[in-house]
Amino acid sequence: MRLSLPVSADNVQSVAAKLFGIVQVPGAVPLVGAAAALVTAAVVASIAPAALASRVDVVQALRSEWGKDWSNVLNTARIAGVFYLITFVAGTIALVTGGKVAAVAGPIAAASYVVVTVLLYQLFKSVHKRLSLLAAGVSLSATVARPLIGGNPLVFFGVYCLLISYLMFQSTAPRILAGLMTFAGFGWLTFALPSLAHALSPYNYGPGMLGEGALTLWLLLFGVRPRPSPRHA
Amino acid sequence: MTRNAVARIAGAAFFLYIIIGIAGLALVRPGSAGAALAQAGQSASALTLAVTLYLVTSPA
Repeated sequence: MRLSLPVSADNVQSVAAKLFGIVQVPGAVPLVGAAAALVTAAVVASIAPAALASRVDVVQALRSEWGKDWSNVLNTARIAGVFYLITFVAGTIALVTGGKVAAVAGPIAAASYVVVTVLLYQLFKSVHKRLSLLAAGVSLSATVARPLIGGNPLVFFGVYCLLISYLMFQSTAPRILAGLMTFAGFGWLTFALPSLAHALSPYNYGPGMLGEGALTLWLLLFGVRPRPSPRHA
Repeated sequence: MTRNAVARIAGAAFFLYIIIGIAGLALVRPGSAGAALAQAGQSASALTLAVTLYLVTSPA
């Protein structure tokens, strides 16, 4: 039995085959059954969170008492952590798989990294506003202006990681985490020299994945705030 | 413009960035005019996303 809708199984198959190679569409019953099962699972899983979320003004939750209320800073850190995790997972998939899958995962990682950049700026501006702005500018340059500037975006992320690590040293973040971010920054900076990057590959991805992965987990679990100055201690 | 409207623009820019990125990489030939156009669209989306998200998350 063939579907006769405008978006037919043949159309879906041809598009999927372009993206993922050879794809064979099963019969209509498994397709409809799988779609129904997924929709049912999604509806069941999202009823309770949706009911709770519908009572919250997200914009107000993000903005209210920003930088003053510790719980909101923690929320910001966790949102940043979630987008960092998306960046991390999608970026790794893009790196490992290549081809059409990378064409899908790459933009998701890059868009999420823009969100991470803005949220980390908001988090770290209470530590050092100008340096945090510089870090955000460097990170956004890799995403927004790279076609004009040229070069490997990982080099920009190396500088970004080094700036963030300095800001972390100035905050209440664990020193070991800041140290890992420094390590990550130097790891990404090896891509400034293609011959060096080639010689060290794939080990030069390790510091970045370790440092940024640790920062992701820490943002999800804890958050960031300025280190108290001695006169207030 | 209300902050809710700015937040919606940020969300739209986020998805637009991803869609243009996927289309640019999967459907357009590298080096063609379409690829350059997609790259420009991605840059514009990223910039819009950054500015609107900053506006949404900044204190009044």
